[in-house]
Amino acid sequence: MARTRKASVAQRPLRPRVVFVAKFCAALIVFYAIVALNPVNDFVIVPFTAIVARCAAAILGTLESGIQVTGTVIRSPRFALDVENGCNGIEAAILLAAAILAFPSTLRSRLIGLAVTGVAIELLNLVRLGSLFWLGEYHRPIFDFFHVAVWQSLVILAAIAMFIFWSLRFAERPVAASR
Amino acid sequence: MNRKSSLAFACIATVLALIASNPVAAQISLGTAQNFGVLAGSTVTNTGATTVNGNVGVSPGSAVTGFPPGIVVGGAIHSNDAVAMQAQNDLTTAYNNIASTPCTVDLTGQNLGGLTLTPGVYCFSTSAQLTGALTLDALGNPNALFLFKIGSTLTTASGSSVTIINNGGNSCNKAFWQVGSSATLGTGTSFTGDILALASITLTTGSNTNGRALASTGAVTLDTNNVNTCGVVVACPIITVNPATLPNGTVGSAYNQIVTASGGTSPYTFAVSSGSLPVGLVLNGATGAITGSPTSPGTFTFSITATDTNGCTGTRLYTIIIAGAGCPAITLSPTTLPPAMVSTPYAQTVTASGGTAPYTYSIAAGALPPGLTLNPATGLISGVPVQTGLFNVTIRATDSGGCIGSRAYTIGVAAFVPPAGGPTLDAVGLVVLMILLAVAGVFVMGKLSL
Repeated sequence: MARTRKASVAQRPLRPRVVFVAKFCAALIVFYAIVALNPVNDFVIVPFTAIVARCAAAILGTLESGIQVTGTVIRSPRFALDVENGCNGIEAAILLAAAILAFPSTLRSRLIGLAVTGVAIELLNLVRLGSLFWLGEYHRPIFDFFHVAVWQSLVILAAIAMFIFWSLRFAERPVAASR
Repeated sequence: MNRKSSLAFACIATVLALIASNPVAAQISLGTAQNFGVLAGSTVTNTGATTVNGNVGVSPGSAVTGFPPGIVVGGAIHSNDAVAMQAQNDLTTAYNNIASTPCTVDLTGQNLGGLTLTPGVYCFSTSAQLTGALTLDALGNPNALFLFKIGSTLTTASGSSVTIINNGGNSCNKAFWQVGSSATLGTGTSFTGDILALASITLTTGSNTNGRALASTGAVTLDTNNVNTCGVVVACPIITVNPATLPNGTVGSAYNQIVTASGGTSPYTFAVSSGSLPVGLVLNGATGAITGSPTSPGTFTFSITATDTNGCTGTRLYTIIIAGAGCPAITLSPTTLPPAMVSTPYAQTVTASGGTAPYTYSIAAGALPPGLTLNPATGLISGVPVQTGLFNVTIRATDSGGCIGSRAYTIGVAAFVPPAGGPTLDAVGLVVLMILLAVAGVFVMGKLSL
């Protein structure tokens, strides 16, 4: 029985999967080309990064006093953190969005997937920033370790989990494919 | 005053002006008394909201009452202190100088009211009376001087006034009233000139003077007045007490150091204004010498205040460590401390050697940067600085035998450079995620038989 299933999987046509990978790569190229445009950077990415910093500062402000935010710099009497481009979760969201758009599904489920996973990635990034700030304040020696190793791994795992969960449970099959 | 008498006064004034056509250009020096708005020999008594511009002093008496409600602006109250004594000496000199100046016009028996006088020396062999307005015409001479030598009393009627005109824009220090006994300014009088009275001065309710009230032997009585020292601003210079630090001493060893002052007007007097000298040492108030032989070990922190001849002061805080007799030299290392950075944890240990362990560490002088603390048992300076700047601190180590060593440090705290939040995913992370997403997509498609 197991052999039969393995054989049937192997015999399935590769074309849809190749198409998925191709679409995925194409979407990535398009997205990165868009965010590389100066107007997009100046009028979308930078303001969005400032909003991320303000949101993170607001969350931190509910937990401790003395939190200030100036532009993209969050500051307390003990520590300060500059939320730069690339720290805003956009790149992770772009990768996830490219995968969702490339995956064979209906437009509706794709849009829902983009919205939900995009918000989830940004919320996760806010938690990341808040925790890194706290580590910087009180456990500075392990700040870099969490920054480079722990949180990157968590973001990667979260993005993969979200994509698999969406594609298995919520990605509606296109009509042509379901036939 | 009717028109006829006014005309008579005008004629007299004109004659007087012609007689006194040689403007007095000499200047009168009050010495240190110029810094006083009010100076008395016996008492200064005030009632009501009097404002005195300049010092208020009394000597050889000591009673100054009524401040508040009276207020002293640009000065201080000197109650029979060295400053008031010196001012009284200078007042006597000035009084005698005026008294010895020859008269140019004798106004004995003449009421000053309604007169217009030009610069000169006006004498009254007995008393002088002012009823009405007295005008002093400086003739545009900025150095014009009006001297009034009065044999006994000076009295002004209510509402009288003394005004200087054509004064070249400055009516200050142009009129001096040398009064042989006492002066009384009537209610509401607006007076101009310094009163140098041998006995007492009384400013009745609401009278104001654009000049000083200086009484040599008697009292000055005030009642809701304005006493303006006429442009003399008692602005003290910055007086610096030197040296910046004093060397430490040892129990039983002679100690001899001298503190000096600069920036003010000599001579200076010195006093311990806070804290106390090491036991066994004394400060000479006149020379600034700290001498003696310490009798007990310890750390002694005190301030020495230098006061110049004008009453202006300067203070410096000192810390002297007195080591016990026979103590070894205890040294602290390192010799310097590394700089710190705001919002960045700092940890640096100061260690002592040369004595008998264990040591205890403490701050002998100065202060650590805000946010840093010193562990008294280990000498660890740690914490997170919260303020930029240079901070001078002297760390003291005391060994088990009570012997003491110290070292002065300067810790610089630099501004914080915030670390970048760092990318959510760096290049490696992005590639890994990209590959994993592609693999996951292929895997799911296979799982779903797509």
